[in-house]
Amino acid sequence: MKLFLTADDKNGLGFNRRRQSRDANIIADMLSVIGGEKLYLSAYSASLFGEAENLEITENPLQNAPKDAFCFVEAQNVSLDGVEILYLYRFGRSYPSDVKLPPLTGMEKVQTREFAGSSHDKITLEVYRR
Amino acid sequence: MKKYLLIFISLLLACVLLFSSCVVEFVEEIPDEQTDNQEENSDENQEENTLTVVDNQPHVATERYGIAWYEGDEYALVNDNVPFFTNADKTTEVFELYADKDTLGRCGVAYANICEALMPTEERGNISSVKPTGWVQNSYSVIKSGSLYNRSHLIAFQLAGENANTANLITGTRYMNEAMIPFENMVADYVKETHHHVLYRVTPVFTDNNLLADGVLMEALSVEDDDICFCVFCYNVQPGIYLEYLTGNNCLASETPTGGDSSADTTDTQDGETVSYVLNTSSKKAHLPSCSSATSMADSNRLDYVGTQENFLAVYGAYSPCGVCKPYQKP
Repeated sequence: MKLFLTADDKNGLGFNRRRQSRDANIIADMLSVIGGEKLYLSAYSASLFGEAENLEITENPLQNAPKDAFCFVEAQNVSLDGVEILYLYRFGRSYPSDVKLPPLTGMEKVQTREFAGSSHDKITLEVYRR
Repeated sequence: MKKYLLIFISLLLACVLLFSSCVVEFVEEIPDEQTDNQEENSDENQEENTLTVVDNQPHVATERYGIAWYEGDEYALVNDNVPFFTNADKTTEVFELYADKDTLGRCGVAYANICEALMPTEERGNISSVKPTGWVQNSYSVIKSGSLYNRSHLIAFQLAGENANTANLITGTRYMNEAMIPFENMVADYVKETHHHVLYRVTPVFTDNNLLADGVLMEALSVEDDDICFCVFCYNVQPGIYLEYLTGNNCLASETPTGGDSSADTTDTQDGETVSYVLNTSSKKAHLPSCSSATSMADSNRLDYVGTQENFLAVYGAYSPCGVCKPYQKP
C-alpha cells in the first residue's frame, strides 16, 4: 500500500476525531503523486478533493484498499504493516493531537521535498520506503 | 443577533458569578493601546524568595468542570471535548467581546467569532506596559525561556489582532501559554484555509480572591462545518515552580516547606513515543524540526530522524541536544 498522512510538528495525526489542519496545496500535490491511479479514502477526506476524479470512497480505506493502491487516511490510528511507501506531509506547525504517528520501524526516508502551502508557510513532504 | 449574543453571555456570566464572586460586565473592546504579543517576557521584579505554602491553591476550575487538578498533562478535556455553544449561537456575524475587569482587576470572558476580518494585518506591538493581576515576574533556570510569566492573550493576537487590550491579557505561566498555542494555531490555520468562521471563547477561571488564574477554559466550534470542535482547560502551572495563586508570588518548588505541590515535573518524551529530530552531521547537534538551526541547515549536513527516543539514543547517543530548542535532556 502507498499511504498518505498529514502530521504536525509533534507527529500528531488528529484531535477529537478530526483532522488537525488542511491545505489545498497538499491535496493538489497528492493528486499529482497518484497521477491517474485511484485514491482510497473516506467520505470525510474526500470532501477536501472537490470534483477530483479517481477517488474511491470507503469508510475503511486501510482495510478495503487493494495491496498496491494509494490510500489517504486522517485523524485515526494507523498501522504501517503492509505499507510499502509512506507519503508524510508535515504542516510545519504544532496542533493539539490525541492520535500519533506510529514508529516508522523498518522504513527508510528516501525523499524530502518542500513547497509553499495554501495557508501554511511551508509544507514538507517526507517519503519513506520499507 | 448581537443583542441575543450579549444576553446569552450575560446569562453565562451570571452563572460564573455564582461560583467565583467575579463582578464582570461585557463591553465592546476598545483597542486604544498598541503593543506586543502573547509571548512577551519581562525580567522586571527579579527577586529571590522563599514562600510559605498557604491554603490558596486553585479549586474552582476542578469543581466547575469536574476535572482533576494538574497531574502532568498541559490540559484536560472538559464536557467530552464539546464546547458549550449551541447551534443557535452559530452565526457568520463578526463580533469580538471582552468582559470588563472585576473589582480585583481580573479579566473575564473573551468571546469572538474568529474570521479573516478579525485577523491582524500588522505586526504585533509592545505590551510590556501591561501588568495583569498576579504579575510577580521571576526567572528560573528550570524554564527554557527563563521568565516564569507571560502576558497571555485570552484571544491570541494571531486570531484577533489584539495587542495591549488589558481586558484580554492575564498573567499566565510560560507552560500554560505554550499549551494554548497549538489550539490557537488550529483555529487560525483553519480560518485562513477555509475563510470560514469559528466561535471562540476563552474563560479565565479564578478561585476566590486569587489574583492568579487557575487556568483558562478554551472553547471553539466552526460555524460552516464540523471541522473545529474542542473544549479544554489549560492549567496555569509551571512544573518545578510553586505558585501562590492568591498573589502570583512564586518560588522554586524545592524551596517550599513541603517541596511544593502546585505542579509536577514532566518529561519531554515518554517511552515508545515517536520523536522527530533533525541532526547536524557536522556539529553533531540534534534539533527539533521547527528549530531555526534545523530549517536553515545545509542539506549536506542534515539527517532526519523519526522513531522512538530509545532508538535515537541507542543509535545517535553521540549527538548533543541543541541548547536553544532543547529537544530532550542529555542523558
